[in-house]
Amino acid sequence: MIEFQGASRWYGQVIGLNDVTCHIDKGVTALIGPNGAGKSTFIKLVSGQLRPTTGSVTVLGQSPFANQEVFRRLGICPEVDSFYEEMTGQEFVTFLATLGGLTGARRSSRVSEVIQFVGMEANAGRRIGGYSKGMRQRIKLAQALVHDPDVLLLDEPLNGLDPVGRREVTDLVKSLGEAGKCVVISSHILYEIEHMTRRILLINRGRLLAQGDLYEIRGLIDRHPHRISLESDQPRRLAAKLMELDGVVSSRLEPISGAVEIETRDPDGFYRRLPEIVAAGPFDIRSFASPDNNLEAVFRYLTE
Amino acid sequence: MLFKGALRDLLRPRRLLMAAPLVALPALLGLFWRSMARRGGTFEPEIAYNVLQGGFVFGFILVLLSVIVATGVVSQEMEQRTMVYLLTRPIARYRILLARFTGAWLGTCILVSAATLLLACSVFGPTEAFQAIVWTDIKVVVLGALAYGSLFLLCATLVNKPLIYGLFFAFGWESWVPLFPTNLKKVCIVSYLRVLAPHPQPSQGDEGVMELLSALNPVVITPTGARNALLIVTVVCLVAAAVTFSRRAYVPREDSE
Repeated sequence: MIEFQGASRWYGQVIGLNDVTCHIDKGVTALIGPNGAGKSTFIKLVSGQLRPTTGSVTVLGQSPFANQEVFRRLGICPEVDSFYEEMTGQEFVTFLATLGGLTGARRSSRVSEVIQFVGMEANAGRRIGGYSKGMRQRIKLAQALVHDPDVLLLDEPLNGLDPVGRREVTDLVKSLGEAGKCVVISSHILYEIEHMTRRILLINRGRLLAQGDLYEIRGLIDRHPHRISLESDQPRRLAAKLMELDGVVSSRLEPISGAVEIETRDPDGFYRRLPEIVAAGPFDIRSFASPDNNLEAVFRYLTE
Repeated sequence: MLFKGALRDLLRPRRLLMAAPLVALPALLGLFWRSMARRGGTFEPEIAYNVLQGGFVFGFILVLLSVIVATGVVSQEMEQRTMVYLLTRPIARYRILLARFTGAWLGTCILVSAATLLLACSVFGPTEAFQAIVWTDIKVVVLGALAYGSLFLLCATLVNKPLIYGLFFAFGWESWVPLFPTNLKKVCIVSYLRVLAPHPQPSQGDEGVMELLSALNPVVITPTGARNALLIVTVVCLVAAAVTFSRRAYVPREDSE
């Protein structure tokens, strides 16, 4: 649905995005990277606010810049906290629904639906200028959804939301992805991204560092050994035993928890052998976990 | 919707409160002039009207409001960062621009016409205010707001800080260039407005620098020529603004990573 072919975007002498090639299909894709990485430039290129300086960007097979055909099927929830402050939430969503091509009864019903969907029915009649940050995020999301777009761009949609709101938006994004929409969500809150999708695009300093399934990407990073932490009744003996396995490059005891943390270059092989080790004894393994199997670890490895 | 929004935005109570002193100022000056004349000397309403309408309404209020309102069509959306909502909707960019401009232009006309009518009421009196010259002036205000507005709109689509350039043009170029010898007068909108709405200023006796410069520059512009010139400026600027707006990227600078 979204295609970048060697796309770069320069702001004068500063590069915003550098030679990005990627393909984004239906479902939820997370765009992650530190501040200033190029996430917003990426979103602006997809939403047709900017043209690439070199290369091409296509959405639904067409260049999105000032393209009405694309905009009919694209919704954007921008990062900026900007509104027509004098309008009420209802007026704001209705105004943008009208510009989105909705009219009459269909417009009224869609506006009501999305306002209810984002949980703003009680406050839709109030001026946006008086909204809390969370309400502003919700109404911004409502305007992005009002014309039922196939491609949805959400730039840091969790900012300013309380925990309940975050949970609701997370569930909403997941449901949109499951409904076959192409949702691109940018965020630096990695923990919450992980709850929405495993498909990521990792950008840093304008470059696309990695794309694909989070766990597959983690598996490909063999330059960095994979850490696995195990809790046992006999941690020292377990550590010595694990060091005998192929691929294990180090082991150490956690000073506080007493857990054994090993580093292996062959995590799959390690997990295959683990049941044998447990069965052979003489130690119990109470739990094991990999701190490197999360998004934060991938992010850290790739950006450091 | 965009037209109504722009007009409603301009005529919001808070905006009107800010514009009210400017709109009322010529009338207040007219009343002041009148009250001063009562204390000694004669009050000639035509002279007061010509001085205040020609110098203040056409020379200041019309230009100032046109600059602020027309550049605001683009720059206000940029500054409040709401442009993204407009430019990502399935509506042609030129339609967004022209609809918002029409609202802004109509708002300018309402405010400047109000200033003209208030001034006429203050100098001629409420019963005598609706004279032919006042109606002519209102027609010229409409045309002037259109020409100035389209020029400043074009400026807003081209540069990042249009208000500064607009003010420089309004109070630098428009004030001084018509006085220079040669045909430079013809590249000033104010020259055409003065032809369509002449407001002869009273002679001060001794010739000042301005009068001398004007006398050195006797370029003749006919009313038809003036009207056509203003329409040409309007059409050219609006087309150029629409084309520019359709092709350029409008992203607030601080949003650019």
